[in-house]
Amino acid sequence: MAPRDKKKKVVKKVVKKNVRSVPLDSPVHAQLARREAELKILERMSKSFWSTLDYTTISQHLFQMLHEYTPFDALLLMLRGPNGHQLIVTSQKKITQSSVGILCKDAIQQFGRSTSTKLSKNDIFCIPNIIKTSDISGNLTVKHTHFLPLNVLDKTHGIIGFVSSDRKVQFDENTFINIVANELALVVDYQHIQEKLLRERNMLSSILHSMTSAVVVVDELQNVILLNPMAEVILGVSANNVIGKKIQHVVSDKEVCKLFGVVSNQASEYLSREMEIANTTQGRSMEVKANLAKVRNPGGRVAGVVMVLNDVTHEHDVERARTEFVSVTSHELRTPMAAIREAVSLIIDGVTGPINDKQRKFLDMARRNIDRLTAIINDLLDLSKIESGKLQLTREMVSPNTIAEGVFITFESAAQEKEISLLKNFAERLPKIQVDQDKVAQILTNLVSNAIKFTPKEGMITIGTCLSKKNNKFIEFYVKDTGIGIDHKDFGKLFQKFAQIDSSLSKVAGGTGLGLAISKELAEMHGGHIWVESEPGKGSSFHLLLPVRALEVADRHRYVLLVTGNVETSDLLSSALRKGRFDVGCVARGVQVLDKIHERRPDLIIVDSKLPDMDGLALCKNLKSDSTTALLPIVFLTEAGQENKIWGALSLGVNGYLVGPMDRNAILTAVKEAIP
Amino acid sequence: MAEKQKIMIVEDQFFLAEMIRTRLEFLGYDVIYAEHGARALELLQKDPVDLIIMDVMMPVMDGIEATKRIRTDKAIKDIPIIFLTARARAEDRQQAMDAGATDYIAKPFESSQLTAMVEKWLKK
Repeated sequence: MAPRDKKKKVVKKVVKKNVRSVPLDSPVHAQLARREAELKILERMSKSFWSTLDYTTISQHLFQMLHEYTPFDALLLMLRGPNGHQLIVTSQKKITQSSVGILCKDAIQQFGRSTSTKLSKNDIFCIPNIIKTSDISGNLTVKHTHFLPLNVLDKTHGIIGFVSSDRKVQFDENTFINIVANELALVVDYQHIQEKLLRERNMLSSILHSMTSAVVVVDELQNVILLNPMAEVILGVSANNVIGKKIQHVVSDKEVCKLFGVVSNQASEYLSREMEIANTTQGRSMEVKANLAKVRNPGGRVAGVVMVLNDVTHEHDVERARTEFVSVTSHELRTPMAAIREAVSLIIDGVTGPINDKQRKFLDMARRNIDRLTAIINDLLDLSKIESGKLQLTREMVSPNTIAEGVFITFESAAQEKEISLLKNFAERLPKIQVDQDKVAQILTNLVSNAIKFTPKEGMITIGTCLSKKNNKFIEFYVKDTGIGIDHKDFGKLFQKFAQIDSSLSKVAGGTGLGLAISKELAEMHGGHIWVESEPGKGSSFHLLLPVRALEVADRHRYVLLVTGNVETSDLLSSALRKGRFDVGCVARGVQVLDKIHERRPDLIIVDSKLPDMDGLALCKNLKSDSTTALLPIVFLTEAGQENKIWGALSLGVNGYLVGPMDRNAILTAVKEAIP
Repeated sequence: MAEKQKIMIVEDQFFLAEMIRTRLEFLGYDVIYAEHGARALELLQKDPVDLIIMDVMMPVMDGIEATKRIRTDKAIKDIPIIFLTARARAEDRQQAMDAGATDYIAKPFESSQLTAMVEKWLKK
């Protein structure tokens, strides 16, 4: 309001000056008087606009004020609303249904012209708003309407129309009317923004209230500006008492308060912590996971910090229960199993007296089934330990042939029983490898016992060791059989939990269906790799590749292989991945990929859809159908507009995709999601 | 004929003790049984043995306490004691060894493991 007051004063001064030198009947005088009247109207209008949010009231005020200034019979206001358009007509005369219809039609047409939006009558709510005055004389007949759009920047919020029933309104005062329209447009715009803000605030408030996470927001001075009901519960405070106060003064948990300071002062945008909060209003201590993020204003300056707390007590309880379960199972199940086995063994061994052949046969069966049950329990426990990260490798330097020999001896008699020749093919002068001997033996035992199961009488099984042909930093163990073989399409399934290819076979051969899944996990824990080569009817060979020197998984950078002929793409990806602490290798041509994989086995491959020598999809297909590479995660890369290729890639089994142009975050996210 | 070697089993789970006893008797040993540590000490006063198989967790007196007492009794302090530890945890083993165990075997065990261990310590 202030600038307008000033303006008015200036004009008044001008008027006074002119009074002295210009005769009262001069046209200049009349013009100035008119300008003064205009300014007065503008001031009143302004006050009226900003004192209400109701358009009907605004239109009435506007009509009254403008009517004093320039004679017209009705004012039409059409406004764009969130659920439709409203048409408000303010008139001094009675409005008949037909004139509303005419006005409506005109308004629709004019609105369409100013916004190129097509409207129909159904899109409009009509609010004919007749001023009740004593001198209503006759009906309003629409002779002429002068329309102005209500524009702010590139948005048209509606239109205003001045309706006259007897004359064509002479808008020599166009400038003034334009000012009125602009002012009104600004008011409407302001109201739209305000409504939108209110809506969003209400929505935000509903979200915050219904969340099971606690949310606390502080400003840059660490004053609390927002705290949702769950935060009241977890932090043991009431929002009413803490808003606007320093977090350190109102929240008793020192650790929580400290985190706000830590995230403000660190370079990274985010922070994640797990901790325990002692005094919750629920009267129990609570384990929480805290996620904090800086809030930046549009200029990029840190304007505060938001903290989200999640109660993870239950999850931790579940994890503890699981660990407890594993330990109880291991003891409580295995002890009685051992007792049963021992009891049966005592009888079989003749300790309790002689038994006949039939008795021996049944007791042998009982003992075999106990052994099988024990194996299942052990496998489940192993897998449970691996999955919960509780299995630790005890690495030592050991000769690969010593491990293989041990496994060979274990199975000699079993092979003999089944009339299978068990052969060994150990390479000489192999370097010692740094592995957990028991775990490697466990993998080989598993492979050999599978081979014996699936190899018919008079078949042949070879246990072998050699230096990897592709990379002399790796030792390869293999178990080759002349068994039933495995179909190509089942290679991937083979290493999944409880996935025996043919369930009818598994019934005959026994086994838990967990052996290969465990073997795969154990191989990968060693930084190694396990795969199968086979054809149905021609036997299978399982291969285990282990690094000679242990690469500490924790310290080891994950290695990503890029396959792209495009230098820019390769530069962009390499720099993003290196910043994400990945090692990066790159080849341009599809034919180079296999050699590069054998040089160092990547944790992930990124394949460009366009390669200089072949189609990216074809490469993905090759990789996914080759048993040595089928399990390598692949991220497929295409340019925008080629998204149709993604479906092709996904159906081949690729693990993720990237669509260029991409930024560092997108790259790292896609890569991290695809690596298991 | 040489006198049979005598082994004492201290174990509160009777069925387990009974099976060990059956196996050992079959192998030609004399076996005596005590249901807990205190009973074992009592029997040892009258009837010293060549080897003791000792459980850890037992009522009245546990295996750790019984072993400590045996090791301080001049008459019986050199008898080899094989511990049956319920858990294969390193600290459990350590506790057994600290108390004076000669060797240990984790439950559940194969009878062949136990008999091999018995033979190993009786030879010495």
